[in-house]
Amino acid sequence: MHIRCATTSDLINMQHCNLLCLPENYQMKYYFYHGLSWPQLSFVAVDEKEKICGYVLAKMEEEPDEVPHGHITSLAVKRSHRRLGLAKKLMDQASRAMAESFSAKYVSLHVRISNRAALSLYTHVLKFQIDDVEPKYYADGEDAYAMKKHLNHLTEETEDTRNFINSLGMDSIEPTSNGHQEEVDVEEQLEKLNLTDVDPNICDPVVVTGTEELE
Amino acid sequence: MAKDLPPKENALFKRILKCYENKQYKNGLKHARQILSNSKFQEHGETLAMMGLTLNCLGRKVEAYDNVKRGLRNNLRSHVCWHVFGLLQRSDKKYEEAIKCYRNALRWDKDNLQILRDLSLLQIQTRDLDGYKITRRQLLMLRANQRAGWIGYAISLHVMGDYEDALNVLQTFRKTQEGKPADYEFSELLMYEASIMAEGGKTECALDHIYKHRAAIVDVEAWLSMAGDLHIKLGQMREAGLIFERLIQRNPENKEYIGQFIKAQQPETEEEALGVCMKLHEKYPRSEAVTVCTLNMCSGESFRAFVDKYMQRQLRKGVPPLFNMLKHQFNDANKMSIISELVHGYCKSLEVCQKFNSDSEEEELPTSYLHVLIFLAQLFDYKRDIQEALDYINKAITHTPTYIDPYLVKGKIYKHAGNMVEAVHWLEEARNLDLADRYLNCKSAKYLLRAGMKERAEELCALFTRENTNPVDNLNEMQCMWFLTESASAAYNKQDWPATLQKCHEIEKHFVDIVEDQFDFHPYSMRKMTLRAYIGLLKLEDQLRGHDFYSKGAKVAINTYLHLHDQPNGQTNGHGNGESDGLTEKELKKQLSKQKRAEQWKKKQDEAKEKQGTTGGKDTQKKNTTGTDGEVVAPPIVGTELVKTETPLEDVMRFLDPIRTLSPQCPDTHTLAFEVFYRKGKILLMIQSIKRAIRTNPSTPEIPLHLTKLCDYVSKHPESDELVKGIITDEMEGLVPGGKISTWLDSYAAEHVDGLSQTFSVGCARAFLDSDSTRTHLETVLKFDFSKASLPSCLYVLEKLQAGSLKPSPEDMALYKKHVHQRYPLCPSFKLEKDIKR
Repeated sequence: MHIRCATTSDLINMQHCNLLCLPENYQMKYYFYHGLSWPQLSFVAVDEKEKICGYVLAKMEEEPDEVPHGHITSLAVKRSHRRLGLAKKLMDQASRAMAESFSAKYVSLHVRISNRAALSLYTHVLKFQIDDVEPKYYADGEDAYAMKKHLNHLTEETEDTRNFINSLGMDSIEPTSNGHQEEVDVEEQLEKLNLTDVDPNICDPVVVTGTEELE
Repeated sequence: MAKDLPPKENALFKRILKCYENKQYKNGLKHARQILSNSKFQEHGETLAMMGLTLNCLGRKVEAYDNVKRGLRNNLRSHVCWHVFGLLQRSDKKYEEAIKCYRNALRWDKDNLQILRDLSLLQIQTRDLDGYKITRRQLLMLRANQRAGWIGYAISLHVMGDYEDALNVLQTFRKTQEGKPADYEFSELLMYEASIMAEGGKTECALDHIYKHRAAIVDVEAWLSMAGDLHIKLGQMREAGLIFERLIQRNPENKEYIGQFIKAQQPETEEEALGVCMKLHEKYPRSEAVTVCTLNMCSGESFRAFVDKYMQRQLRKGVPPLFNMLKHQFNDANKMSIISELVHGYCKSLEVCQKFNSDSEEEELPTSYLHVLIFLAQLFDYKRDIQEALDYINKAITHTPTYIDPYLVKGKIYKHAGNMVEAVHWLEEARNLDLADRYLNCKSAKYLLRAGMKERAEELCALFTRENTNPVDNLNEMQCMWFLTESASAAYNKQDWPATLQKCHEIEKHFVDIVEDQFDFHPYSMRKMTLRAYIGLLKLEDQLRGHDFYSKGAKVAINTYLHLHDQPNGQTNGHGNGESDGLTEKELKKQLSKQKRAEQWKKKQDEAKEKQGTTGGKDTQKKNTTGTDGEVVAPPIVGTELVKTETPLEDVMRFLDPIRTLSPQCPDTHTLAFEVFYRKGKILLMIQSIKRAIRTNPSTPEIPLHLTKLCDYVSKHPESDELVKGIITDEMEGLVPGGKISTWLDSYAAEHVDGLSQTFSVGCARAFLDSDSTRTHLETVLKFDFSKASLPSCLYVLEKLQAGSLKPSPEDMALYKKHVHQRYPLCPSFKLEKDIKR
């Protein structure tokens, strides 16, 4: 067993796992959207042959007037890999990444009100709470529980990790300051790069198929 | 723009542009017509072009092209007309043509930002990396105050492998950013820089960089693992050790962290490494990854002690994947026998005293015994001892008939025994115990397809697809690849060529779409600054057709096209089921309904667009990056049309080229390539295919026959070009020294006496050289010691014999089946027909 942050090349296999396990499915583009918007947040569990046996696909809700919070788009573990606690392990990784990379304050998700197994997992194992009921949330008309879990418990850990990183060696290096600095002239910087030799071919005439008769 | 129009018309023209941007196409058309109604401007080029572009967005393709071309003809010096023509071609995915149009447009307005941006997008999409670099540089020169200009140029340098300059550009850009608050995007930028440094081998530089900026980097996980890896590369083991210790604490299931942690402790012997691992295990006793790592490292008695404890705990807990977790230990025969011994011991002991060992203190619950039974069934199945496996799994099912897992195991045992119908039965038993579980549903449907029961499989799938839609269409829309590859194989097995090609082309179409999906992410990722992920996307897309899903479909397609070439009139092999060729009434109806579906396609597409390709909840429906209007709607793929091809050996290249490039590790790729090139008469490519097949796996059974055919072909087709002739002679000498193919076959046969497929193939090759000897070679195959033959090889030979290889008589076929039947009594393929009737 191996749990790691999902890479772009995992996404197609996550889609496969999703289609095997869950009734809510998405086209590849939606997976790419997750992978290229919040690359830190999705995780996979793979077996010895690098086959995916579970995944969590997660995102941020970034409405400007709301506190930043994460959202679990999809979570699945293959039936053949149950009882290893993978769901919890995957969720813990995703939640921590939300807090660290995006300062998420809580994480939310939706679950079918009929899905008692999932509801029990979220409530008892993962300690989510029901926040609301969203009527007819699913395509087939079923209602969803909107569930929430606060990430306060991670504040201390995040702090601790920061301290750990700062405590590491390499003292000779000055830290960057993001404080006051003089304005840098963009044009001047550009000149330094010496980019002026633009290829003149860029403007060469080209014959476009089907327009020969026009010229 | 539109400099040649008077103020009133010019104002109207601007409105057309505005309407186009705001997607108010009807209004746009109205304004265009107003200008064109003035007799002085009825041939106004730019207006005509814009009218065409607007019509395109309304789906009126023909008129769109007419207007745009007319506009261009009237104003060949207008960048607007050229740009519009480029946009039109782009919407039809004619990227190469669109690029040419944009370049013509730039000829008349060389600093037009919008055109340059559109051009750069197509250049990266088509991987015209040189062109992309030039365009990005131009964009940066024109707008040095825009972030995208810098980032885009840096990416263009990076993808060309010019790390030095890419870093220069990024560092220069970063100087212009100082003073701004550090945020996620800035953090991503810093990590992107670090990744370029590491990729370019500048290890120290990368480490300095991430330390220097550690306060600004929010992606802690990436920071830690990168710092750790770099420290290890530089031999700074103390720091690396601290970092990986921290990473394991954060995620004890990551085997890379574990591996790096052990490395950082610099163990000098395997024993020391094991000691490190054991310590980790004490600290993280629940970590599966640490456990597996420990199991991999220890051997002999320490393995026995460790695995004993581990298995007892998991069996007590009832962890169904236990067998899968241990399976890869079986590569070591010694470990396998230890595991086998232990579990057999548990079984006996539990039967006597409800304890794993007679000297254990605790008594176990009955579920421990149940899981022991299941484990033993899997173990015997792994060894292909079908009868023992069935005995144990039957005991398990009798023990607890309501437990689902044993039914799945029993189905799998029957699958391995070659009896898919029986396998389906047990999968259905499992599925019926939990109808709400899609995993069970999919497994069952997959088995049904393998058993050739397509309709039933589709009925099952319908239980989990969107209501009121055709389940097959819905699974296709959701890009459900397993269903497509299995359906293609099922149709192929029934020699239903139209359905086979239909499915294979649907798979291919999904890969086209997934490549297309990149398009919106080029500008998007630059905005979001998720550049490491973006570079990952570019790499993934370049390798996309190397995915198993693709090669599975491609291989079926290639076999089908080969068949269409060999039997162009749609004859079947003669021995197969051959149900699908003559059009029965049912088939005709099906075809008609397919045509109907084609007509409804357009309508459906529009609906689908609204749904934005998801069956998920509400929040997923509103999200989509962008969608371009007027994009081509692909015509539906119709298998009955595809099989009518006159040029199967050309069509097949669409599937063969990608797997030759991207799946070269698979011997099938090269044997199929040989079959294609042999029919095309391409000697050099035949040679290349055989060489690659030998390199990937010298025991590939097709090699003897292919090589023999190649020798024969070369001798019958003398090459006139001296240079080519020289190459062929050299290569042939390398493959078959002295041209003595019989000697080659003798030594190949001697090396593979235990292989049924290889023995068979050598027989076919010898029969090819001397057809009078066919009978002798057939008899060699029939006298084979089948106790040594694997089921797949028996099926492989059966298929070839049925297709007429070695010219067996019905009696020979019966004899072959009889022999194999004794070895594999459960596989229906080897039952004689009279037995089946009984």
